[in-house]
Amino acid sequence: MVEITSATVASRPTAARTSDTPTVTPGDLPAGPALAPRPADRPDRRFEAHQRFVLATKVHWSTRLYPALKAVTRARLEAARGRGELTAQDPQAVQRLLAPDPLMPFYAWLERHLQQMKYAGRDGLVRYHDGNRLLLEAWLAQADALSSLELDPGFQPPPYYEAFDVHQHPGGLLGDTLAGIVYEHGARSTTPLLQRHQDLHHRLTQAVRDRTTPGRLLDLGCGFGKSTEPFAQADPDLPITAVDLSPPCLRLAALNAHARGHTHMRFLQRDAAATGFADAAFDTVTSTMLLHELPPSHLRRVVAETHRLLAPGGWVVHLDFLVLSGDAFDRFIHHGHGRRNNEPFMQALDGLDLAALHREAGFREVDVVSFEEAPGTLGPDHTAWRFPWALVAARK
Amino acid sequence: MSSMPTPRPPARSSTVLPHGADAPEPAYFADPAIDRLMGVVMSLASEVWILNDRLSAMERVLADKGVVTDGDRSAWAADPKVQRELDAERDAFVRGLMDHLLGVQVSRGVPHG
Repeated sequence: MVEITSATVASRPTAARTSDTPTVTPGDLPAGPALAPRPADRPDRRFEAHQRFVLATKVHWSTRLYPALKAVTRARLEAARGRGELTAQDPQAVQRLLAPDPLMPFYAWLERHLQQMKYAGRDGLVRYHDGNRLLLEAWLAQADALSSLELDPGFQPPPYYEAFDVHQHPGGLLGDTLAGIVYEHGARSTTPLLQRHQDLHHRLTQAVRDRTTPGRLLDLGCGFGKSTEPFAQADPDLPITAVDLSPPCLRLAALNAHARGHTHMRFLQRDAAATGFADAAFDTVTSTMLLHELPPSHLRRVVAETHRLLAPGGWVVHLDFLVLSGDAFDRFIHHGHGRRNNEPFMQALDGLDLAALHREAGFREVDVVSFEEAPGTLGPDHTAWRFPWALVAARK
Repeated sequence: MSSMPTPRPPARSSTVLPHGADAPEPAYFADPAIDRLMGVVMSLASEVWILNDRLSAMERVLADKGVVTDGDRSAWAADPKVQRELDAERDAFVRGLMDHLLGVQVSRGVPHG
């Protein structure tokens, strides 16, 4: 076992960042140095009990409160129609209808504050991992020795990224070296009803492979690599490039990939709207839960960039959230989620005509479809809250 | 020992975004005091579960080691004197909790005028 000392982290000359595709192609990456294994999670019974309590409450919110709220809305809508009151079919009308109902404030409060209980406070994720800070930071620092990771110390993230704490992550995803670790831990229960959240990302991989052979793959907004990993699992020889704005996430992604023995993945700190890669450098571009985090103006630039980056015939496939049904209650719930969970661009994304956007950018064959994240979730028997998962696929 | 994360610098963007560094915490109830009360209640609820979890673990460890069995606990019947003490503790617990509903003042207020 390799002990973590300053000698373990080999010194590495800082590569000058160019605007061209890096000369090293993923297949050429050496296996890399032997790294010390990840520090184990500290046993903490209080922490575990609290997190399970929060998750159980979120499940209750999803399976009991949400359906009750939906039923209440339906009843109030019918009553309003019965009284001959003209009721517009939009989210604002739903909000007015629900304003006097005692259930609504509890639903809203819990949606926002269960997330806070998960991350913050005595038994939150931030404090839990902070208790292991020295070991975790030493482990993470090893990432800088990996040739599969490229960070730019002079990188300027777009202003919107630092203006608030996305999805209520205390401190955001830039400042704290442990932000990626905390985010990864939190992602285990982002979708409380999915027994194996991992399945969701494998399903996206399958949706891509149903349309095309990935070829040279680029994953935008890869975070700590959760969406990228299934592509490597499906085909270990696939050259995969992944970009994100967050160095804490990228370090974790690179270390995770290294631990899994992937030699064809590279992680770079790049803006999805201006990656710096060459024209037609990729056969497939993907993203998972990226689009709703972008201001619309930035999103338009990302769409243009994906077109530039793709070889002719290549596909871009985005997985994100769109209320394709147009249902007023669904939009009310989803837009409210965006506001309550520090996702200020979620509502705007839902209002964009993404098919038109892609056609204007030069794509042909644009598909915008609902996405079944787990068996049965699109069926009529699924009554619990869920994200309105949607796939946007376009061919150059 | 370990340090808490460095406090974030103030937001540099001039874009007005909800819930930014300077945004007040939203209130969902007509009376924002209820939002704060919900925080106390949910924190309390979590603590109750944490206690339950620890106690359950303790009971099982004691049972596994043969110190106290589940049967011992179920079969334990307080003798009348102990039961009266338990009853009094229970009544005090309920009173302490529910008397707040009466809104009785615990000390004399300052008269007007």
